[in-house]
Amino acid sequence: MSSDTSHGQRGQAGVMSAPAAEAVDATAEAILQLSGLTRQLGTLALPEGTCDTAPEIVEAMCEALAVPLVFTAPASDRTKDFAIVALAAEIQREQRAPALSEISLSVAAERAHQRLQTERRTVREHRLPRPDTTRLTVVETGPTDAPAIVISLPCMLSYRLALPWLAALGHRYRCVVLQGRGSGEPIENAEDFDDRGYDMQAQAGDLVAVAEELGDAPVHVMGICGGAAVALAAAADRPDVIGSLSLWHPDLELGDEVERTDHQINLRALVDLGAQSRETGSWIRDKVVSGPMTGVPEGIGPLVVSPYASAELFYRYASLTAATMSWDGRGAAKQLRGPLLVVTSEDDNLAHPAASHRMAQLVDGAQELTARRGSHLDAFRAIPAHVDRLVTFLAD
Amino acid sequence: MPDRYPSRPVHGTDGSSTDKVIGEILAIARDVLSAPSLESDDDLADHGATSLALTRIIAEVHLTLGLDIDARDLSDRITVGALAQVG
Repeated sequence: MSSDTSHGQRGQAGVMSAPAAEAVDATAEAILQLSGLTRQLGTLALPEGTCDTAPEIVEAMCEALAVPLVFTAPASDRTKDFAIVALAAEIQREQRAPALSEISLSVAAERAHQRLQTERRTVREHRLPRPDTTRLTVVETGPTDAPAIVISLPCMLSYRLALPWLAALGHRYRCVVLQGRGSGEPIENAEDFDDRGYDMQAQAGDLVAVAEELGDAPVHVMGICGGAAVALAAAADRPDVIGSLSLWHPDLELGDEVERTDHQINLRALVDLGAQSRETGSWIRDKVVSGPMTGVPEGIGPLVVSPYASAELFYRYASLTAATMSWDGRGAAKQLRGPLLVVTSEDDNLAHPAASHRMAQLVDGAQELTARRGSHLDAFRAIPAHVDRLVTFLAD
Repeated sequence: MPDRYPSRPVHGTDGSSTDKVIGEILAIARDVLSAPSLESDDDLADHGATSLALTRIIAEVHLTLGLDIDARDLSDRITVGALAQVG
Protein backbone atom coordinates (compact mmCIF):
# COMPACT_ATOMS: atom_id res chain seq x y z
CA MET A 1 0.00 0.00 0.00
CA SER A 2 1.27 3.48 -0.78
CA SER A 3 2.11 6.24 1.63
CA ASP A 4 -0.69 8.26 3.16
CA THR A 5 1.18 11.51 3.11
CA SER A 6 -0.04 12.79 -0.24
CA HIS A 7 -3.54 13.07 1.16
CA GLY A 8 -2.50 14.59 4.48
CA GLN A 9 -4.86 14.41 7.42
CA ARG A 10 -7.80 16.19 5.89
CA GLY A 11 -9.93 13.15 5.87
CA GLN A 12 -9.87 11.98 9.47
CA ALA A 13 -12.90 10.04 10.61
CA GLY A 14 -15.66 12.35 11.71
CA VAL A 15 -14.89 15.12 9.25
CA MET A 16 -15.62 13.25 6.07
CA SER A 17 -18.03 15.18 3.87
CA ALA A 18 -21.27 13.58 2.75
CA PRO A 19 -20.12 13.41 -0.89
CA ALA A 20 -16.86 11.78 0.21
CA ALA A 21 -18.70 9.24 2.33
CA GLU A 22 -21.02 8.53 -0.57
CA ALA A 23 -18.08 8.10 -2.93
CA VAL A 24 -16.33 5.70 -0.56
CA ASP A 25 -19.50 3.68 -0.10
CA ALA A 26 -20.12 3.48 -3.85
CA THR A 27 -16.54 2.40 -4.49
CA ALA A 28 -16.79 -0.17 -1.70
CA GLU A 29 -19.94 -1.59 -3.24
CA ALA A 30 -18.26 -1.77 -6.65
CA ILE A 31 -15.41 -3.74 -5.07
CA LEU A 32 -17.70 -5.97 -3.03
CA GLN A 33 -19.61 -6.92 -6.17
CA LEU A 34 -16.47 -8.82 -7.16
CA SER A 35 -16.08 -10.61 -3.83
CA GLY A 36 -17.98 -13.69 -4.98
CA LEU A 37 -15.71 -14.01 -7.98
CA THR A 38 -12.51 -13.68 -5.99
CA ARG A 39 -13.81 -16.27 -3.56
CA GLN A 40 -14.17 -18.71 -6.43
CA LEU A 41 -11.29 -17.72 -8.65
CA GLY A 42 -8.77 -16.18 -6.26
CA THR A 43 -7.05 -12.91 -7.18
CA LEU A 44 -8.85 -11.29 -10.08
CA ALA A 45 -6.94 -9.28 -12.67
CA LEU A 46 -8.82 -6.25 -13.97
CA PRO A 47 -7.57 -4.11 -16.86
CA GLU A 48 -4.60 -1.82 -16.53
CA GLY A 49 -5.80 1.72 -16.22
CA THR A 50 -9.02 0.87 -14.39
CA CYS A 51 -8.00 3.05 -11.46
CA ASP A 52 -6.87 6.07 -13.41
CA THR A 53 -7.83 8.59 -10.73
CA ALA A 54 -7.55 7.04 -7.28
CA PRO A 55 -5.42 3.87 -7.54
CA GLU A 56 -4.09 4.07 -4.01
CA ILE A 57 -7.51 4.49 -2.44
CA VAL A 58 -8.90 1.56 -4.41
CA GLU A 59 -5.93 -0.56 -3.39
CA ALA A 60 -6.43 0.34 0.26
CA MET A 61 -10.14 -0.37 0.08
CA CYS A 62 -9.61 -3.73 -1.65
CA GLU A 63 -7.37 -4.71 1.23
CA ALA A 64 -9.88 -3.49 3.82
CA LEU A 65 -12.69 -5.39 2.12
CA ALA A 66 -10.57 -8.53 1.61
CA VAL A 67 -11.25 -8.57 -2.11
CA PRO A 68 -7.98 -9.45 -3.89
CA LEU A 69 -7.87 -7.43 -7.10
CA VAL A 70 -4.91 -6.50 -9.26
CA PHE A 71 -4.99 -4.22 -12.26
CA THR A 72 -2.73 -5.99 -14.68
CA ALA A 73 -5.02 -7.44 -17.36
CA PRO A 74 -4.10 -6.46 -20.95
CA ALA A 75 -5.92 -3.38 -22.13
CA SER A 76 -5.11 -3.43 -25.84
CA ASP A 77 -7.96 -4.11 -28.23
CA ARG A 78 -6.38 -7.31 -29.58
CA THR A 79 -6.17 -8.96 -26.19
CA LYS A 80 -8.94 -7.21 -24.33
CA ASP A 81 -11.50 -9.39 -22.58
CA PHE A 82 -14.68 -7.37 -22.51
CA ALA A 83 -16.18 -9.35 -19.63
CA ILE A 84 -13.23 -8.23 -17.55
CA VAL A 85 -13.76 -4.70 -18.83
CA ALA A 86 -17.39 -4.84 -17.71
CA LEU A 87 -16.38 -6.27 -14.33
CA ALA A 88 -14.08 -3.27 -13.83
CA ALA A 89 -16.48 -0.61 -15.08
CA GLU A 90 -18.13 0.12 -11.73
CA ILE A 91 -14.83 0.55 -9.92
CA GLN A 92 -13.51 2.71 -12.72
CA ARG A 93 -16.51 5.00 -12.61
CA GLU A 94 -16.74 5.28 -8.82
CA GLN A 95 -13.03 5.94 -8.22
CA ARG A 96 -13.34 8.98 -10.46
CA ALA A 97 -15.65 10.72 -7.98
CA PRO A 98 -13.98 14.06 -7.17
CA ALA A 99 -14.92 13.73 -3.51
CA LEU A 100 -12.53 10.81 -3.09
CA SER A 101 -9.63 13.24 -3.38
CA GLU A 102 -10.74 14.84 -0.10
CA ILE A 103 -9.89 11.87 2.04
CA SER A 104 -6.87 9.89 3.10
CA LEU A 105 -6.21 6.26 2.36
CA SER A 106 -6.63 5.28 5.98
CA VAL A 107 -10.00 6.99 6.29
CA ALA A 108 -11.27 5.37 3.08
CA ALA A 109 -10.01 1.98 4.22
CA GLU A 110 -11.52 2.37 7.69
CA ARG A 111 -14.92 3.34 6.34
CA ALA A 112 -14.84 0.42 3.90
CA HIS A 113 -13.90 -1.92 6.73
CA GLN A 114 -16.71 -0.61 8.92
CA ARG A 115 -19.15 -1.04 6.07
CA LEU A 116 -18.07 -4.65 5.65
CA GLN A 117 -18.44 -5.33 9.37
CA THR A 118 -21.88 -3.75 9.41
CA GLU A 119 -22.97 -5.84 6.44
CA ARG A 120 -21.65 -9.01 8.06
CA ARG A 121 -23.67 -8.28 11.19
CA THR A 122 -26.82 -7.70 9.14
CA VAL A 123 -26.46 -10.26 6.39
CA ARG A 124 -25.53 -13.58 7.89
CA GLU A 125 -23.92 -16.24 5.75
CA HIS A 126 -23.54 -19.96 6.18
CA ARG A 127 -22.91 -23.12 4.18
CA LEU A 128 -25.45 -25.85 3.66
CA PRO A 129 -23.90 -29.21 2.74
CA ARG A 130 -25.78 -31.39 0.26
CA PRO A 131 -25.59 -35.16 -0.09
CA ASP A 132 -23.65 -34.81 -3.36
CA THR A 133 -20.94 -32.87 -1.43
CA THR A 134 -21.99 -29.50 -2.84
CA ARG A 135 -21.78 -26.82 -0.16
CA LEU A 136 -24.43 -24.24 -0.88
CA THR A 137 -23.96 -20.63 0.14
CA VAL A 138 -26.98 -19.30 2.01
CA VAL A 139 -27.31 -15.73 3.23
CA GLU A 140 -30.08 -14.31 5.34
CA THR A 141 -31.27 -11.32 7.25
CA GLY A 142 -34.09 -10.61 9.66
CA PRO A 143 -35.33 -12.25 12.88
CA THR A 144 -34.82 -16.01 12.90
CA ASP A 145 -38.25 -16.53 14.45
CA ALA A 146 -40.09 -14.50 11.81
CA PRO A 147 -41.98 -16.00 8.85
CA ALA A 148 -39.46 -17.05 6.24
CA ILE A 149 -39.05 -15.97 2.63
CA VAL A 150 -36.56 -17.77 0.39
CA ILE A 151 -35.32 -16.04 -2.75
CA SER A 152 -34.38 -18.06 -5.82
CA LEU A 153 -32.09 -16.08 -8.12
CA PRO A 154 -31.01 -16.79 -11.69
CA CYS A 155 -28.28 -19.41 -11.91
CA MET A 156 -24.79 -18.38 -10.86
CA LEU A 157 -25.72 -14.85 -9.85
CA SER A 158 -24.58 -13.36 -6.57
CA TYR A 159 -26.84 -12.96 -3.56
CA ARG A 160 -25.90 -9.28 -3.69
CA LEU A 161 -28.49 -8.85 -6.39
CA ALA A 162 -31.10 -9.60 -3.74
CA LEU A 163 -29.78 -7.12 -1.17
CA PRO A 164 -32.56 -4.59 -1.94
CA TRP A 165 -35.12 -7.28 -1.09
CA LEU A 166 -33.27 -8.20 2.09
CA ALA A 167 -33.23 -4.56 3.12
CA ALA A 168 -36.92 -4.11 2.34
CA LEU A 169 -38.16 -7.30 3.98
CA GLY A 170 -35.59 -8.03 6.67
CA HIS A 171 -37.28 -6.08 9.43
CA ARG A 172 -40.36 -8.29 9.43
CA TYR A 173 -39.37 -11.52 7.68
CA ARG A 174 -36.53 -13.97 7.90
CA CYS A 175 -35.32 -13.36 4.38
CA VAL A 176 -33.02 -16.00 2.91
CA VAL A 177 -31.15 -16.10 -0.40
CA LEU A 178 -29.80 -19.26 -1.93
CA GLN A 179 -26.76 -18.70 -4.07
CA GLY A 180 -27.03 -21.70 -6.30
CA ARG A 181 -24.69 -24.61 -6.84
CA GLY A 182 -21.57 -23.96 -8.86
CA SER A 183 -21.22 -20.37 -7.73
CA GLY A 184 -20.41 -20.29 -4.04
CA GLU A 185 -17.34 -22.47 -3.56
CA PRO A 186 -13.72 -22.08 -4.61
CA ILE A 187 -13.06 -24.07 -7.77
CA GLU A 188 -10.59 -26.78 -6.81
CA ASN A 189 -11.54 -29.59 -9.15
CA ALA A 190 -13.68 -28.23 -11.99
CA GLU A 191 -15.19 -31.61 -12.86
CA ASP A 192 -16.74 -31.86 -9.39
CA PHE A 193 -19.44 -29.62 -10.79
CA ASP A 194 -20.38 -32.24 -13.40
CA ASP A 195 -20.14 -35.12 -10.97
CA ARG A 196 -22.49 -33.43 -8.50
CA GLY A 197 -25.06 -32.64 -11.19
CA TYR A 198 -26.81 -29.51 -12.30
CA ASP A 199 -30.19 -30.60 -13.63
CA MET A 200 -33.52 -29.23 -12.46
CA GLN A 201 -33.92 -31.96 -9.89
CA ALA A 202 -30.62 -31.01 -8.29
CA GLN A 203 -31.36 -27.28 -8.38
CA ALA A 204 -34.90 -27.61 -7.03
CA GLY A 205 -33.63 -30.03 -4.39
CA ASP A 206 -31.22 -27.37 -3.18
CA LEU A 207 -34.03 -24.87 -2.78
CA VAL A 208 -36.16 -27.37 -0.87
CA ALA A 209 -33.20 -28.17 1.39
CA VAL A 210 -32.80 -24.49 2.23
CA ALA A 211 -36.51 -24.20 3.00
CA GLU A 212 -36.48 -27.34 5.14
CA GLU A 213 -33.57 -25.99 7.15
CA LEU A 214 -35.69 -23.02 8.24
CA GLY A 215 -38.07 -25.03 10.39
CA ASP A 216 -41.45 -26.69 10.22
CA ALA A 217 -43.57 -23.78 9.00
CA PRO A 218 -44.00 -23.59 5.23
CA VAL A 219 -42.01 -20.79 3.68
CA HIS A 220 -42.75 -18.34 0.91
CA VAL A 221 -40.49 -18.58 -2.14
CA MET A 222 -39.72 -15.72 -4.50
CA GLY A 223 -38.52 -16.87 -7.91
CA ILE A 224 -36.81 -14.02 -9.72
CA CYS A 225 -36.18 -14.06 -13.47
CA GLY A 226 -34.32 -17.30 -14.24
CA GLY A 227 -34.79 -18.38 -10.63
CA ALA A 228 -38.50 -18.76 -11.29
CA ALA A 229 -38.18 -22.19 -12.89
CA VAL A 230 -36.42 -23.66 -9.86
CA ALA A 231 -38.87 -21.95 -7.52
CA LEU A 232 -41.85 -23.31 -9.44
CA ALA A 233 -40.45 -26.83 -9.60
CA ALA A 234 -39.70 -26.86 -5.88
CA ALA A 235 -43.07 -25.37 -4.91
CA ALA A 236 -44.99 -27.86 -7.03
CA ASP A 237 -43.02 -30.78 -5.69
CA ARG A 238 -43.04 -29.89 -2.00
CA PRO A 239 -46.16 -27.94 -0.97
CA ASP A 240 -45.54 -29.13 2.59
CA VAL A 241 -42.35 -27.08 2.68
CA ILE A 242 -43.22 -24.21 0.33
CA GLY A 243 -46.57 -22.72 1.24
CA SER A 244 -46.77 -19.96 -1.35
CA LEU A 245 -44.92 -18.69 -4.35
CA SER A 246 -44.26 -15.42 -6.11
CA LEU A 247 -42.62 -15.07 -9.51
CA TRP A 248 -40.90 -11.83 -10.51
CA HIS A 249 -40.41 -11.14 -14.20
CA PRO A 250 -40.08 -14.90 -14.61
CA ASP A 251 -38.19 -16.56 -17.42
CA LEU A 252 -40.22 -19.74 -17.87
CA GLU A 253 -40.67 -22.27 -20.65
CA LEU A 254 -44.42 -22.79 -20.96
CA GLY A 255 -44.78 -24.06 -24.51
CA ASP A 256 -44.07 -22.82 -28.02
CA GLU A 257 -47.19 -20.69 -28.15
CA VAL A 258 -45.92 -18.48 -25.33
CA GLU A 259 -43.93 -15.64 -26.84
CA ARG A 260 -40.28 -15.09 -25.95
CA THR A 261 -38.03 -12.08 -26.33
CA ASP A 262 -35.07 -12.04 -28.70
CA HIS A 263 -32.88 -12.05 -25.60
CA GLN A 264 -34.45 -15.27 -24.36
CA ILE A 265 -34.12 -16.92 -27.77
CA ASN A 266 -30.49 -15.88 -28.17
CA LEU A 267 -29.53 -16.79 -24.62
CA ARG A 268 -31.20 -20.18 -24.89
CA ALA A 269 -29.33 -20.94 -28.12
CA LEU A 270 -26.01 -19.93 -26.60
CA VAL A 271 -26.39 -21.76 -23.30
CA ASP A 272 -27.51 -24.88 -25.13
CA LEU A 273 -24.27 -24.76 -27.10
CA GLY A 274 -22.17 -23.67 -24.13
CA ALA A 275 -23.42 -26.57 -22.04
CA GLN A 276 -22.31 -29.18 -24.54
CA SER A 277 -18.75 -29.28 -23.25
CA ARG A 278 -16.15 -27.10 -21.60
CA GLU A 279 -14.50 -26.69 -24.99
CA THR A 280 -17.70 -25.44 -26.61
CA GLY A 281 -18.48 -23.29 -23.61
CA SER A 282 -15.06 -21.71 -23.78
CA TRP A 283 -15.51 -21.02 -27.51
CA ILE A 284 -18.89 -19.38 -26.95
CA ARG A 285 -17.59 -17.31 -24.06
CA ASP A 286 -14.66 -16.12 -26.11
CA LYS A 287 -17.05 -14.91 -28.81
CA VAL A 288 -19.23 -13.07 -26.30
CA VAL A 289 -16.31 -11.29 -24.62
CA SER A 290 -14.33 -10.47 -27.75
CA GLY A 291 -16.39 -7.32 -28.28
CA PRO A 292 -18.16 -4.81 -26.07
CA MET A 293 -20.93 -6.43 -24.03
CA THR A 294 -24.25 -4.70 -24.55
CA GLY A 295 -27.02 -4.30 -22.03
CA VAL A 296 -24.81 -4.35 -18.95
CA PRO A 297 -26.78 -2.35 -16.38
CA GLU A 298 -25.07 0.45 -14.50
CA GLY A 299 -24.75 -0.11 -10.78
CA ILE A 300 -24.94 -3.91 -10.85
CA GLY A 301 -22.88 -4.68 -13.94
CA PRO A 302 -20.31 -6.92 -12.23
CA LEU A 303 -23.06 -9.01 -10.66
CA VAL A 304 -24.68 -9.62 -14.02
CA VAL A 305 -21.47 -10.20 -15.97
CA SER A 306 -19.84 -12.49 -13.40
CA PRO A 307 -20.84 -15.76 -15.14
CA TYR A 308 -18.72 -14.63 -18.08
CA ALA A 309 -15.65 -13.95 -15.93
CA SER A 310 -13.95 -17.22 -16.85
CA ALA A 311 -14.47 -20.15 -19.19
CA GLU A 312 -15.28 -22.47 -16.29
CA LEU A 313 -17.87 -20.11 -14.84
CA PHE A 314 -19.52 -19.68 -18.21
CA TYR A 315 -19.67 -23.44 -18.72
CA ARG A 316 -21.38 -23.78 -15.35
CA TYR A 317 -23.74 -20.91 -16.10
CA ALA A 318 -24.60 -22.44 -19.46
CA SER A 319 -25.17 -25.89 -17.98
CA LEU A 320 -27.39 -24.67 -15.15
CA THR A 321 -29.28 -22.17 -17.28
CA ALA A 322 -29.82 -24.59 -20.15
CA ALA A 323 -31.46 -26.89 -17.58
CA THR A 324 -33.82 -24.19 -16.30
CA MET A 325 -34.63 -22.67 -19.70
CA SER A 326 -35.46 -26.02 -21.27
CA TRP A 327 -37.59 -27.22 -18.37
CA ASP A 328 -41.28 -27.20 -19.27
CA GLY A 329 -43.09 -25.59 -16.36
CA ARG A 330 -46.64 -26.40 -17.47
CA GLY A 331 -46.88 -29.61 -15.49
CA ALA A 332 -45.67 -27.96 -12.32
CA ALA A 333 -48.00 -25.01 -12.86
CA LYS A 334 -50.99 -27.34 -13.01
CA GLN A 335 -49.74 -29.21 -9.96
CA LEU A 336 -49.26 -26.05 -7.90
CA ARG A 337 -51.63 -25.88 -4.93
CA GLY A 338 -50.49 -22.90 -2.88
CA PRO A 339 -51.21 -19.22 -3.56
CA LEU A 340 -49.32 -17.65 -6.45
CA LEU A 341 -48.39 -14.04 -7.24
CA VAL A 342 -46.91 -13.19 -10.63
CA VAL A 343 -45.30 -9.80 -11.23
CA THR A 344 -44.01 -8.42 -14.52
CA SER A 345 -44.21 -5.43 -16.82
CA GLU A 346 -45.57 -5.23 -20.34
CA ASP A 347 -42.33 -3.78 -21.64
CA ASP A 348 -39.92 -6.30 -20.14
CA ASN A 349 -37.62 -6.92 -23.09
CA LEU A 350 -35.56 -9.61 -21.38
CA ALA A 351 -38.16 -12.03 -19.94
CA HIS A 352 -41.29 -11.74 -22.04
CA PRO A 353 -44.43 -10.96 -19.99
CA ALA A 354 -46.35 -13.61 -21.94
CA ALA A 355 -44.99 -16.31 -19.63
CA SER A 356 -46.29 -14.42 -16.61
CA HIS A 357 -49.72 -14.07 -18.17
CA ARG A 358 -49.75 -17.78 -19.04
CA MET A 359 -48.76 -18.74 -15.51
CA ALA A 360 -51.60 -16.69 -14.11
CA GLN A 361 -53.98 -18.52 -16.46
CA LEU A 362 -52.66 -21.95 -15.54
CA VAL A 363 -52.95 -21.56 -11.77
CA ASP A 364 -56.39 -21.16 -10.21
CA GLY A 365 -56.65 -18.07 -8.06
CA ALA A 366 -53.28 -16.69 -9.14
CA GLN A 367 -52.75 -12.99 -8.61
CA GLU A 368 -51.06 -11.01 -11.33
CA LEU A 369 -49.47 -7.59 -11.14
CA THR A 370 -48.41 -6.25 -14.52
CA ALA A 371 -47.01 -2.77 -14.79
CA ARG A 372 -47.57 -1.02 -18.07
CA ARG A 373 -44.07 0.38 -17.91
CA GLY A 374 -41.13 -0.99 -16.03
CA SER A 375 -37.91 -2.83 -16.45
CA HIS A 376 -36.75 -6.36 -16.05
CA LEU A 377 -34.40 -5.10 -13.37
CA ASP A 378 -37.40 -4.05 -11.29
CA ALA A 379 -37.51 -7.69 -10.23
CA PHE A 380 -34.35 -7.10 -8.20
CA ARG A 381 -34.95 -3.57 -6.99
CA ALA A 382 -37.64 -4.16 -4.37
CA ILE A 383 -39.50 -1.06 -5.49
CA PRO A 384 -42.13 0.10 -2.97
CA ALA A 385 -45.09 -0.97 -5.09
CA HIS A 386 -43.69 -4.49 -5.33
CA VAL A 387 -42.82 -4.70 -1.65
CA ASP A 388 -46.30 -3.52 -0.69
CA ARG A 389 -47.93 -6.03 -2.99
CA LEU A 390 -45.83 -8.89 -1.68
CA VAL A 391 -46.50 -7.98 1.94
CA THR A 392 -50.24 -7.80 1.23
CA PHE A 393 -50.11 -11.11 -0.61
CA LEU A 394 -48.31 -12.76 2.29
CA ALA A 395 -50.74 -11.29 4.81
CA ASP A 396 -53.68 -12.67 2.84
CA MET B 1 -22.58 -30.32 -35.52
CA PRO B 2 -25.59 -30.32 -37.82
CA ASP B 3 -26.12 -27.75 -40.55
CA ARG B 4 -29.26 -25.97 -39.38
CA TYR B 5 -29.75 -24.00 -42.57
CA PRO B 6 -29.21 -26.53 -45.35
CA SER B 7 -31.83 -25.18 -47.74
CA ARG B 8 -31.80 -21.50 -46.89
CA PRO B 9 -32.05 -19.26 -49.98
CA VAL B 10 -28.77 -17.63 -50.90
CA HIS B 11 -28.83 -13.91 -51.53
CA GLY B 12 -26.94 -12.41 -54.43
CA THR B 13 -25.51 -15.61 -55.83
CA ASP B 14 -23.51 -14.99 -58.95
CA GLY B 15 -21.54 -18.12 -58.81
CA SER B 16 -18.71 -16.79 -56.67
CA SER B 17 -18.02 -18.44 -53.35
CA THR B 18 -17.77 -15.07 -51.62
CA ASP B 19 -21.28 -14.11 -52.63
CA LYS B 20 -22.51 -17.48 -51.52
CA VAL B 21 -20.90 -17.05 -48.12
CA ILE B 22 -22.34 -13.55 -47.79
CA GLY B 23 -25.75 -14.92 -48.73
CA GLU B 24 -25.53 -17.66 -46.14
CA ILE B 25 -24.42 -15.28 -43.41
CA LEU B 26 -27.09 -12.80 -44.41
CA ALA B 27 -29.76 -15.46 -44.09
CA ILE B 28 -28.50 -16.35 -40.62
CA ALA B 29 -28.33 -12.73 -39.52
CA ARG B 30 -31.83 -12.03 -40.83
CA ASP B 31 -33.12 -15.01 -38.92
CA VAL B 32 -31.35 -14.22 -35.65
CA LEU B 33 -32.27 -10.54 -35.76
CA SER B 34 -35.77 -11.13 -37.13
CA ALA B 35 -34.84 -8.56 -39.73
CA PRO B 36 -35.91 -9.72 -43.21
CA SER B 37 -34.95 -6.38 -44.73
CA LEU B 38 -31.35 -6.59 -43.52
CA GLU B 39 -28.80 -6.10 -46.30
CA SER B 40 -25.18 -7.17 -46.34
CA ASP B 41 -23.81 -3.67 -45.89
CA ASP B 42 -26.19 -2.66 -43.10
CA ASP B 43 -24.79 -2.07 -39.63
CA LEU B 44 -26.13 -4.95 -37.55
CA ALA B 45 -26.49 -2.62 -34.57
CA ASP B 46 -29.10 -0.68 -36.51
CA HIS B 47 -31.14 -3.87 -36.62
CA GLY B 48 -30.95 -4.46 -32.90
CA ALA B 49 -27.89 -6.70 -32.71
CA THR B 50 -26.83 -7.12 -29.09
CA SER B 51 -23.62 -8.85 -28.07
CA LEU B 52 -25.61 -12.05 -27.48
CA ALA B 53 -27.28 -11.78 -30.91
CA LEU B 54 -23.93 -11.20 -32.60
CA THR B 55 -22.46 -14.17 -30.77
CA ARG B 56 -25.37 -16.30 -31.89
CA ILE B 57 -24.83 -15.20 -35.49
CA ILE B 58 -21.14 -16.08 -35.22
CA ALA B 59 -21.99 -19.44 -33.64
CA GLU B 60 -24.56 -20.24 -36.33
CA VAL B 61 -22.08 -19.26 -39.05
CA HIS B 62 -19.55 -21.60 -37.47
CA LEU B 63 -22.08 -24.42 -37.31
CA THR B 64 -23.27 -23.89 -40.85
CA LEU B 65 -20.20 -22.78 -42.77
CA GLY B 66 -17.35 -23.80 -40.52
CA LEU B 67 -16.04 -20.23 -40.38
CA ASP B 68 -14.47 -19.01 -37.15
CA ILE B 69 -15.12 -15.29 -36.93
CA ASP B 70 -13.12 -13.35 -34.37
CA ALA B 71 -14.99 -10.21 -33.43
CA ARG B 72 -11.66 -8.60 -32.55
CA ASP B 73 -11.01 -8.40 -36.28
CA LEU B 74 -14.15 -6.33 -36.83
CA SER B 75 -14.49 -2.59 -36.76
CA ASP B 76 -17.14 -0.81 -34.73
CA ARG B 77 -19.51 -0.97 -37.70
CA ILE B 78 -20.29 -4.67 -38.06
CA THR B 79 -21.97 -5.79 -41.27
CA VAL B 80 -22.64 -9.16 -42.86
CA GLY B 81 -20.05 -8.25 -45.48
CA ALA B 82 -17.49 -7.65 -42.76
CA LEU B 83 -18.30 -10.96 -41.09
CA ALA B 84 -17.76 -12.74 -44.41
CA GLN B 85 -14.48 -10.94 -44.90
CA VAL B 86 -12.94 -11.91 -41.56
CA GLY B 87 -14.43 -15.39 -41.44
